[in-house]
Amino acid sequence: MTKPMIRIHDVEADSIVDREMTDAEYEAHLASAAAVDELATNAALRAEHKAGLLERLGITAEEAELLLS
Amino acid sequence: MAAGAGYIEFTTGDILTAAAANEYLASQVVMVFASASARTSAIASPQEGMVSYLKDTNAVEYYSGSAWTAIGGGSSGGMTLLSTTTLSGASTSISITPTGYNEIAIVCYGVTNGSNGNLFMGINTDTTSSNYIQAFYGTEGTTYYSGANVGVDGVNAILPGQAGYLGSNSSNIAQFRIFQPNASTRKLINASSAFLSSSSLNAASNTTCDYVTTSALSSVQFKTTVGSFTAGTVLVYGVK
Repeated sequence: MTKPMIRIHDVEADSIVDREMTDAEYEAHLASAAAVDELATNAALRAEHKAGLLERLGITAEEAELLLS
Repeated sequence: MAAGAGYIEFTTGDILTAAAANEYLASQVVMVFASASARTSAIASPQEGMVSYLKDTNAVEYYSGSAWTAIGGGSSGGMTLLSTTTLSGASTSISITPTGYNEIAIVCYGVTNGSNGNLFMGINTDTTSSNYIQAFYGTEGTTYYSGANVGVDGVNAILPGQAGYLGSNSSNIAQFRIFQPNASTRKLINASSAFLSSSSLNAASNTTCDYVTTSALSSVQFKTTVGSFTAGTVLVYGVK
């Protein structure tokens, strides 16, 4: 399986190298993707919870912002 | 190479030797090179006072005795373009030599990578989550969000936008400012972004990061977890 590519720009040597990720880099990349997915899921859950709370309170997001300011 | 010897006034009949030509002429002109690496190849032992012009960055620099330093930057405030890089792959690493600069400023724009693009910036090759302590705030239309991350496991980098999201089209812009890049103590990093969200709303985000490490800055990595970068330009500036 071809792993994702990495670009390395050595400014001092004025060289650019494009190569495939090493196993360790690929493992870190997969861990990053999982962490980002979790961040996005948590954000979506928070947004859903917030919308539900506003609906129960019968106020808009702007009104909530005003109350909390 | 011969060191500059100041001023001499030749008179009729004087013989111009190779040594005199090197001392009074060759080492005291504005030397033009394609790049810093070309200059390094041509001048193995630069002398204090030499002046050069680099065509790739349009920079005029003098040799201080220990390093090539931008002219016009003075003791503070001057900006020198150090590099221009096109993003590619799932990660792009850019080497940085911050010697002589109090700040490294990075501008990143036109980034695309898959349909739901994200962008993160890592310092050196550091993936230690606890070294990235970040607080962020942003807005998408009339929706506001804020939070703090004491390192994000697996990500371990600076997020310019909410969860690093930079929009699915190429109209995004992000910037990173790394203060005290040479310090062997903490560094302050500020990042912000402007982009079009997946809901086609104009969005903005700001992140402040306490980067806790004792290593000087030597490189940055731009990473994405969504496919690979298909476009994007990164400009790195040194600021005195």
